[in-house]
Amino acid sequence: MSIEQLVKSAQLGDKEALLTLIMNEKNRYYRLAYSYLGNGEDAMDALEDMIAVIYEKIGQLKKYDAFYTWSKSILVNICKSMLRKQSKHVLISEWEDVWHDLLKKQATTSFSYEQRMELNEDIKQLSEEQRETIVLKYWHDYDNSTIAKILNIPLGTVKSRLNTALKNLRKIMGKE
Amino acid sequence: MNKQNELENMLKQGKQIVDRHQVPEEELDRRLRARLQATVERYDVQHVGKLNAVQKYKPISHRWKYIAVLVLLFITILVTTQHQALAYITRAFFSHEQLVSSTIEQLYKEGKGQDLDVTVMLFDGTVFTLNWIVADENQTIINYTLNHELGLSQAYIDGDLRLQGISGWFTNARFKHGTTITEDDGKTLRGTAYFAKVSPFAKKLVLHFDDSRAKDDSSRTQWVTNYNNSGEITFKYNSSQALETVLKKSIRHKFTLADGDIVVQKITATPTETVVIGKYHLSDKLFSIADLSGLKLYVNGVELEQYGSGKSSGLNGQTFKVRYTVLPKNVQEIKLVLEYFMTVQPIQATWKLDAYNETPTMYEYDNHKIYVYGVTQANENTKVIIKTKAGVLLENVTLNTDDGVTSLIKTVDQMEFVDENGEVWLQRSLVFSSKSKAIELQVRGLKFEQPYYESITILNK
Repeated sequence: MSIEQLVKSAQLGDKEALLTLIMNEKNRYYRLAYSYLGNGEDAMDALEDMIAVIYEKIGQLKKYDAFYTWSKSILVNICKSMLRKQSKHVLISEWEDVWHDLLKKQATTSFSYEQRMELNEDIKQLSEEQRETIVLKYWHDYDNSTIAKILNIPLGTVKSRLNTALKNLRKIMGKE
Repeated sequence: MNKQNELENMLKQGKQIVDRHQVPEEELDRRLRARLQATVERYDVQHVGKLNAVQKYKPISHRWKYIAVLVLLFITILVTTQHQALAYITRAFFSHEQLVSSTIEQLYKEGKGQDLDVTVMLFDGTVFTLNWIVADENQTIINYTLNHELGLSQAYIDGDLRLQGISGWFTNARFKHGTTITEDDGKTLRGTAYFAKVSPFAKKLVLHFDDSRAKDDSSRTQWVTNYNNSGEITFKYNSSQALETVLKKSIRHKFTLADGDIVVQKITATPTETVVIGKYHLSDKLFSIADLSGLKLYVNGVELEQYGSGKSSGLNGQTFKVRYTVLPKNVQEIKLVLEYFMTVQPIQATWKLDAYNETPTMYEYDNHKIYVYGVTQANENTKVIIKTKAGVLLENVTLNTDDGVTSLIKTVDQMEFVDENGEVWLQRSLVFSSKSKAIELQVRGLKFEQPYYESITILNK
């Protein structure tokens, strides 16, 4: 069945159709929640909350092919709400761990140790919103337009955050 | 390749790291189905509001001690079985057609509640009305309204009117939790409050509440006379309208643990929730960490959502109560499964620490492997990076440095891995407040979810 058919069925109360829609992109959802929450158990909780919200609101979805962007926007809001309840002030819990892996592996880059340490410092200077945008673009492979819809912000804001973030990270270019 | 491209490539490599997370597919499917089912059944809820924090119970003084309980039993034996009240205590009623799953409001709409329509005036002119009550063997639910024509005080909207409990003949039902929703015009608040069960012998009940505003508020300009300052509302109660229990079954099964046991005694399913009660026989230490999130109820193969569990230790021994959502329609099979139980194993471990190394040192205690990667220093803190199977926790952890001993502050940077056997491992950093050189990590216990996977069938049609 096409996405349109599945969404229409789900709107009529077909639970299997809704489950199929979500399971078709299960890893995309899971990894997205994981990046925000930093662990699998919380990510699973977020997915459970997401399906409950989707069930209640799917009747409002007019553009069937927007289902995945729309549902991921719901998931991101749920993750942020969970972080707030846990009094966590970081948007992306997985951020430091992934960078730690990227920087420590000599083979991934020809940057010298000093350059990697400087990059590590530059990364820390990025704002949470800039980190979030980088993560969605490079680690989850969403284009700018999709990021704008998931985060419910203007496309211009997405571009601006990315540009600023990359400019900050490229400072080390001049120090070769 | 120039540095600019190299940076972008490096960013993209983050995707490979993120992609290593694979969702446990079966577990996700099971959890989504259960949650979807629960949502479908609750979808009729008209109001969704903020959940008030569980409020502190102010003990209602009562004269009845344990002897009174014995008196009650004595009277019960003497009273005829025609008494309606006894009907829902003693009858284990199970009917296929009547196993309906409804929301509380739906139950009321179906005529299964009692109208109360009792109103009192609070000190500032707010009208406090008890609308209706739904009661069964597991709990008592009261729907109420606060209304003020000039707009409710923000304090009431924020929950300053605290419902404490219900008292009456052999009744001491404390407040458990509640939800409220305030209308957009700010004049009316509708609430649903959940209390413990009331006695089927009660004909009159008293709702106790605490209005802290009444003591010292000066913000309202309109004051009324003859307001209720007793903090009590009395209302008539007809126990014959209490809802019948749909399933009540004695179970009497003992799950034998490595150190003690759990005896599940009874399941009581009513139209408002499903409750399993029983007893523990555990050491004080194990009792203190005991929780029954691993005691799962499966109905027709689907897990029933567990709301929570409570435990107490006293004259009756170590008792527990686990609460689940209502049974769905068309129950064919009910299974109770002890999937895991928290246990603690004392160890006396002292692990030498070096700087962080990708190749960790492995320590093993009774099949529990702990990988220690080493130490990193960040600002004022020392982090020790470890990895264990998910669900395994270190207890009583201290860091020996060249400046003394320091305790664990918190755990951060958690990362999950799934190995080739499908086992889930959790790497994380233990954070200590210390700038000194770390020498050793001392660990005095391991806390972990001991898997049991013992299943009993409570019902099979």
